[in-house]
Amino acid sequence: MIVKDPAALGPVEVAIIGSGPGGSVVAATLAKAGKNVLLIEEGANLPQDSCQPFSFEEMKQKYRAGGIAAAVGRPNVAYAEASCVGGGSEVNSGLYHRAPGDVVDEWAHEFRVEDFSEASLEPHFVACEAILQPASYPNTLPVASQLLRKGAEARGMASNDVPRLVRFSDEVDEQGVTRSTRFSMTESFIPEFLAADGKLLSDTRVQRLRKQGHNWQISARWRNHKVKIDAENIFICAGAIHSPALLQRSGIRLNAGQTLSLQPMVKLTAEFAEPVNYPGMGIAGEQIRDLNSDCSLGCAISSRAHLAINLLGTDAGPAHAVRRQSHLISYYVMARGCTDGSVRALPGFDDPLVSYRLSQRELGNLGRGLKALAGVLIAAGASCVYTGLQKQPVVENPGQAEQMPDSLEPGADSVMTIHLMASCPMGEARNRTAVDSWGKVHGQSGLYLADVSTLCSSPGVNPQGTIMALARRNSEHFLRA
Amino acid sequence: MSYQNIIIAISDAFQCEHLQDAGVAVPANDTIAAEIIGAQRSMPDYLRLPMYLMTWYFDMSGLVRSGRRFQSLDQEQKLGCINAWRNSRIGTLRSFVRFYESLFLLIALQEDIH
Repeated sequence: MIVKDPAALGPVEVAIIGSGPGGSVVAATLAKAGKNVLLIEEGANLPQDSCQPFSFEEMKQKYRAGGIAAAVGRPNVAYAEASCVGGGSEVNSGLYHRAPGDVVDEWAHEFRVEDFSEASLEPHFVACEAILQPASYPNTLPVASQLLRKGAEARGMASNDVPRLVRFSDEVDEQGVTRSTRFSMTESFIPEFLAADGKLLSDTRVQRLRKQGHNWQISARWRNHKVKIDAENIFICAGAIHSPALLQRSGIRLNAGQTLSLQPMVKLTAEFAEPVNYPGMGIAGEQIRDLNSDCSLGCAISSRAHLAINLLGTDAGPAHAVRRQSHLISYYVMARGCTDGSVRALPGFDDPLVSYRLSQRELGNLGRGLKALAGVLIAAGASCVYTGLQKQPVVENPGQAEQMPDSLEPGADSVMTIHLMASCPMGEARNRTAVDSWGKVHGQSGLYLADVSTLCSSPGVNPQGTIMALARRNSEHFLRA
Repeated sequence: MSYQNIIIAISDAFQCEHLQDAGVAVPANDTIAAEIIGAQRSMPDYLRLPMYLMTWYFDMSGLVRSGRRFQSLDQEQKLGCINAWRNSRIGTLRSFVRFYESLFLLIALQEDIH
């Protein structure tokens, strides 16, 4: 049921704050188990096709702060977060990974997460995958992927078409690539939740939580009206920034927001003599895992506007993106982040202050990743690669790629991220975790977290698959308890 | 001498610098400026106020360089002001130019799905 008037809501058994991949999975799991569940979302309830994917209109409709935010540091790191029913799944490329086994073991050991291993997570990954069915391109790969793979093979590196959360259609584009559309939360878990009598309340910003007797009282703002909602239990699933900020605003501060991690990303643009880019080119899911730099190398959005932005600071300039759009493709380097950031709710401000300090390790990994990527693209036949680096702005041959610096400069202006995490890590190591092994907030009854904030550190891969598996694991534990 | 005039002047300068010879039709500068201001309104509040203040300061910086506010300068002088901040050793000033350049290009070069 879509809630039209929250003032008429009675107490609920479970309120879930945030409807991204974590919140949606918790909501569907608990509603299907017969719980009286209310799913609260700050953003709007929009269909998947309300706007063009990766457009400025999408940023306005579905991103928090219009997609314009930055973690303060040296350098500042631009970031974007979704704010709509379905959260990040509505706006991302849907690349699907499970958390690597060594990362799972690291979390279990260092943060003392109970009953946590690849084997114990397996059924949760399998259950989510049964619904979402991540899939690779059935036939021809997009040109951007083909080129990355060709370059990787020439350099002796492994390259894979990462499965994505999409539905492939029967149509192909002008290059014979099967068209696809996102298979997001609003296409999967949210309909399951609603079919199980779940209640969805959108356009509602939760301001703080207060314990009253055995229940929690939620103070929120719904379309400029103040509302109060009572719930026996609360799952906070508002993301790496807003989950700890809500805890802090509610007076709960133990290890909340002190260890923000992110996966920093930089881009470069390759130019080819022959046309390689065309209107409607699908999202290219090809990725190289570069062990030397602990980075993923992959294909970025290559629309005219994005190409132009990526050419800022190069001699070619944005006009080159307009004139040579069909010959240009952008690629990214994404590093595994450290945990050198923080989230702080500031008195009198709506938004928390986000800060992050890129470590020497991250700068080094990004530099080596860029170098490896430039080498791959030259090997793939690029006539030149625009790196955006001051010391080696254009690379035209393998020798120049080798001369690229081994580390990004601390003052680099173009670092960004779409993956923020680990601001409320889970585990039994009380000195460094905010929630227990099952997402329950330390020292609180009936208050849980089930989103990207509970990851112990950056997994080094796109985190959505891991978030959903953890959300399902924690929901089932809640039901058993 | 409104805030909108400063944004229009910044947008105009970027259009001349980046897209004048590109052979592409872009929205009018006041349309782009309205979108930029709309985007600024939705920024996190700890960034929004500093960005407003820096934008006014940037406008005033034209007085030091060329005796007039940025919005009243000719194109060459505007580019001089922008380059001074773009090449500054202070990262915040570089980020300021990068922010407006990126937003301008995102709005000016919108297209159908690509």
